[in-house]
Amino acid sequence: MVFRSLRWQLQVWHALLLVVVLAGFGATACQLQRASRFREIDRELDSAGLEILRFIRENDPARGRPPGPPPRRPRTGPGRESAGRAPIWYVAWGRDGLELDRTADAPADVKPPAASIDGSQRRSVHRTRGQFREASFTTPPGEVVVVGRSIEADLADFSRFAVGLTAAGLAVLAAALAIGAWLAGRAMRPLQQIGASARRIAAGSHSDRIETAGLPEELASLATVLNEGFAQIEETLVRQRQFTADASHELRTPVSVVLAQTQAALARPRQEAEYRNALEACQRSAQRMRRLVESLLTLARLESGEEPLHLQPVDLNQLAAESTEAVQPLALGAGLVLRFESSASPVPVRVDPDRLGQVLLNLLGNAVAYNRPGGSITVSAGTSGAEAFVRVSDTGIGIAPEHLPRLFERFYRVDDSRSNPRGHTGLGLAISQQILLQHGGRITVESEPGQGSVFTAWLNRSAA
Amino acid sequence: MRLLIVEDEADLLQSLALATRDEGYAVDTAADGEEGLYKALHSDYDCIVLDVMLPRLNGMELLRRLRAERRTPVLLLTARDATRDRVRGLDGGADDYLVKPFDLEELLARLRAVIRRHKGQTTSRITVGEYELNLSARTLSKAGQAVALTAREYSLLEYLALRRGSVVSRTELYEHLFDENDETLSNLLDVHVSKLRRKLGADLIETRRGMGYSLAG
Repeated sequence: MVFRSLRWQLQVWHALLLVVVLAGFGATACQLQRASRFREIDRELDSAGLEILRFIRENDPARGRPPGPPPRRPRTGPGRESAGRAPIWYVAWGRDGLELDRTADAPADVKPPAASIDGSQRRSVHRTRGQFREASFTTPPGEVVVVGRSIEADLADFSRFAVGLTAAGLAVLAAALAIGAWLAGRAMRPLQQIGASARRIAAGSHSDRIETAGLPEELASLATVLNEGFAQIEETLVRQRQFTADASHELRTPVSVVLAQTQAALARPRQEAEYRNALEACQRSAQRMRRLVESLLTLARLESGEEPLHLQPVDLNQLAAESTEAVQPLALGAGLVLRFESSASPVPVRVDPDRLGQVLLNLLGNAVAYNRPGGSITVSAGTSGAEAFVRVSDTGIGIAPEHLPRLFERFYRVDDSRSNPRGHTGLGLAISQQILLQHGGRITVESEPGQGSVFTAWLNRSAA
Repeated sequence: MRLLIVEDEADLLQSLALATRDEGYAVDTAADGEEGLYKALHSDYDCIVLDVMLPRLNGMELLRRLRAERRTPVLLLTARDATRDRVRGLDGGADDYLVKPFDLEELLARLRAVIRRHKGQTTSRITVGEYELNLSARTLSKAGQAVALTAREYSLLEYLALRRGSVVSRTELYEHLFDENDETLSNLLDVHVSKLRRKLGADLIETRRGMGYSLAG
């Protein structure tokens, strides 16, 4: 579990990286230190070796000078000795490979370097042999000199240096890890806060939001996205709650009619006509509830997309004509003039004719219901750009501008009362809009109070 | 007692009127807010049953305008039951509040209580001499024995009992005992008074000539 934690993963990688960096740095430092010390030693050996070579040349018996006592390390110089360094020794071999000279402190096992015997080497060759660093020289005639000194103290220095460096590295690592842990904790805190807020919101305080002030930029944008999601969820919940409240509210009136009618009728013996009246009133209320329930179900099905559209090529002009025909008796009964203005040519669309017929009947029903005595209704179909449309215009009471934006909401009533004609559930326009949206279309309304309203259903035009 | 019921749902209005008339109330009705306000301002009702959502003039507005002129008790009927709506109704001057759908029993009980309270009567029993009036059961008894009265007789007695000790004018009695559809023949009241006197004794209801009637306290 711990290793699934982002914080711990960060910590582990951080530690690994630090170890690699520190180890690399330490190793390089050791190496550099060692190389620089060896160069120094080599220079020291070289200068001593050159003096010894000169001395050998000058005292060479083969060049007519008897061998004298070899100089006893005058070449090491007081400065070098005072530096506390190991004393320099040397061993010289003649051309014949016989030992010519050696200082007393030279190790017994010093051998001339194999490569320098052939005299090809003119420069010094350096090597490390156990506790010694040695430089070998070959003179042109073939003498070989090996100059060396103990590097025991230097090696001990290196070890001390390495230990010190390791200790310092560990200290830096520990400090860095501690700071890293603190930083990681700090970086994680806003995430934990976001998590806590999200949990609180999920637990029911839907109007809470994550505090974005003071969050780092990356997290603030995450929090903003989350907040937008929460806002959407809250809106859906509020709408759902409102819808449930509205639906139950709509059911209250018919239910109270049934209750009052039956209780009043049953309170004492009544005339047959009174029972009949009560039953008829109950029936009207039941019909009203049935319409409401059916509308609610229709809307729910439309919104869930449960029932797919049965799209087919339809002439919108003809569909509008048929719908107008169907409503004609209703319009005549209400004393209204219902006209259909046919389009010159067919208006081809791909729609579900049953669903679209429902939209037209609903618009026509409204045009009849919200008209005024002696008014008229005009239906027309046509095309405009890439769109096809059906338009229902009435000369009715009209709708005030402030109601227009909310007109297609469920249960939205222009008049806050039940002055609506019987049979209207307050869902017709919401259903119509949903059907058109499902078709990729839209519905628009223009209205002038006292002048009438124009509802237009827009659909995508299809090729003829 | 005379009631005004303002309700736009015809089927509900009809059954409420039927049930309250059965209870002996004289009942006027109005189907929209404007008609309701007109009647409420021009008659003296014992209680108004008022639907909140009405065409033309909503119930809350009607109540506001009524309260500017009259103290008639108002029982609000509404389909909205949020606390906010109830508070708004009561603060707006309503005397009681009933959420749809409701039982007629409850509506009738609340009506009785609202009217009783408005007349300054806190209990539902009134003792007049050796008689006891039960306002909730709408019955009269003498020493535990029920006395049979018609609805109109009971209403007359109840009205006088609620105003006992003071003189009630004939006009007021007409106004409160008969609704807009009753033919108010001028001697109809005298007929009911004399019937009551025959049943309960001649001296229970006094006639104050030129002023009205009064029930002995």
